[in-house]
Amino acid sequence: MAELLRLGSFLGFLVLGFGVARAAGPARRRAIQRLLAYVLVLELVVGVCQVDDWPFTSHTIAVGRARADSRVCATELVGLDDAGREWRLDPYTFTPVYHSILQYWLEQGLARLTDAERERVLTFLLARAEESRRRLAAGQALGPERVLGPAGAPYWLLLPRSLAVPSSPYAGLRAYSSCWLVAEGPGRPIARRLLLEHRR
Amino acid sequence: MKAAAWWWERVWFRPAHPLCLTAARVILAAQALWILLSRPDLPDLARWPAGFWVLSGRALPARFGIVGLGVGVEHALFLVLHVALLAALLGLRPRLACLVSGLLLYHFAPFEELVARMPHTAFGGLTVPTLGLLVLSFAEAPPWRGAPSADYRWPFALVQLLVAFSYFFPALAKLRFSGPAWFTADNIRYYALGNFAVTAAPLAPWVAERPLVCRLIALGTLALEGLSPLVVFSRAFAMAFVPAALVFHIGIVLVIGYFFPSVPLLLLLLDWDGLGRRLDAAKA
Repeated sequence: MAELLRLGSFLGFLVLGFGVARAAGPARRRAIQRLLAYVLVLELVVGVCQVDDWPFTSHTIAVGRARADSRVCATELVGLDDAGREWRLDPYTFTPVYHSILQYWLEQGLARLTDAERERVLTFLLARAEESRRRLAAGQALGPERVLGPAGAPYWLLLPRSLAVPSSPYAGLRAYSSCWLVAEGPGRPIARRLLLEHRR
Repeated sequence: MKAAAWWWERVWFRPAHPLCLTAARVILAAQALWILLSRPDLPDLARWPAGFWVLSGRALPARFGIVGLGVGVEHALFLVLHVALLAALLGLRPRLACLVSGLLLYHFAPFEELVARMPHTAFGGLTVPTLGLLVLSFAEAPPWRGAPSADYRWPFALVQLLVAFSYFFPALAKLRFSGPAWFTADNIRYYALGNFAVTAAPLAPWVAERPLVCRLIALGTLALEGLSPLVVFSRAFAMAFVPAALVFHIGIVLVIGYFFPSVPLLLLLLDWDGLGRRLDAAKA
């Protein structure tokens, strides 16, 4: 129902816009006023109530209050070579899905899958990781640099790049979840666990 | 009431030079092309196994026309989007090109984050182009040169306001979720430290050790974001806002490691009306 309402809000914008495009004379001015009022009211409702209705959006980002005892959690993805050595994966490995988005998905979505779905998903991710490894090993770019080179627009969260890859194909994937306190830093995690392991 | 009506008329319907709409079209189309050429794999999401949609369900993707069209169709639509944006950029059938671009951006912009229910799609650099190009498709297509008209003002001002909202609403969100305490030195300090562990932003440790710098960043953020809607009301403010916002974004990259892909849209806040009139006067 909520998605239907959101779709309706966008369709309402289009209908009013087409009304402007079709109208002439004094009716045109009234159609423009209706469109302006609609966009302003919708944007203000979304912005003030913080209910996202993209592309009418609340722009909610970095809104929490950080403290010394704030808990920061992250999921680290690594590829495994034949010898079992871990290689940190580049954040653009699973392009078009960025690392932080996949991280969220792994934390929230993976546990909801059946065993068969989980196997399919992890096999797919390993294949993607291997495809990206091959590109990097061949000196080719990933993600935003593929077409535009250094002029490509990065994803908004600038995670450190990790371009070193093994020369042989990945034999598996692992994900670790760890949390730490802001004041302590990731060097002293308060929790670290293996979230998943998948082998070829 | 009369004053409000006067302001409404002045903000939306005072005559503006056609260059305003031409500039808006070129900037919005160029911005969208830049983001799309930086995300050449977007249609590949159609190839991802069904398990990845466990969080988004069916209704959310369906809202954007993502209904299992198949990877071949998505690639074809992606190509059409590039052609439409190029046509909008060059002014070829501009209203149709803007309409097709806006509708296809509505379809493709969510791809990047859809599997996680679009937590930050607003931050991806395509929000203002999506709405802005549609607004331009509803408006008159301006000639290269011509008399200033209200027809060129309201769409331009609306696009500028959409840019301003991308600064103003984050301030509202901070106040809503954290209150005025968000804008304190301590908060900036711990944001810098917390993000440093994730992004390794180069100036984070330096800033975190300097309470005065943290306080200046906090107050600067409040001023810049809180006053941003004034860009639509005052040309002088808009001209001052652009360099201030640039410094703000460079600072954010260096201190917490967040890049704002909509930075080029600051060009929309320049005085295109004044420039158009000056060019006309020079030619006359």
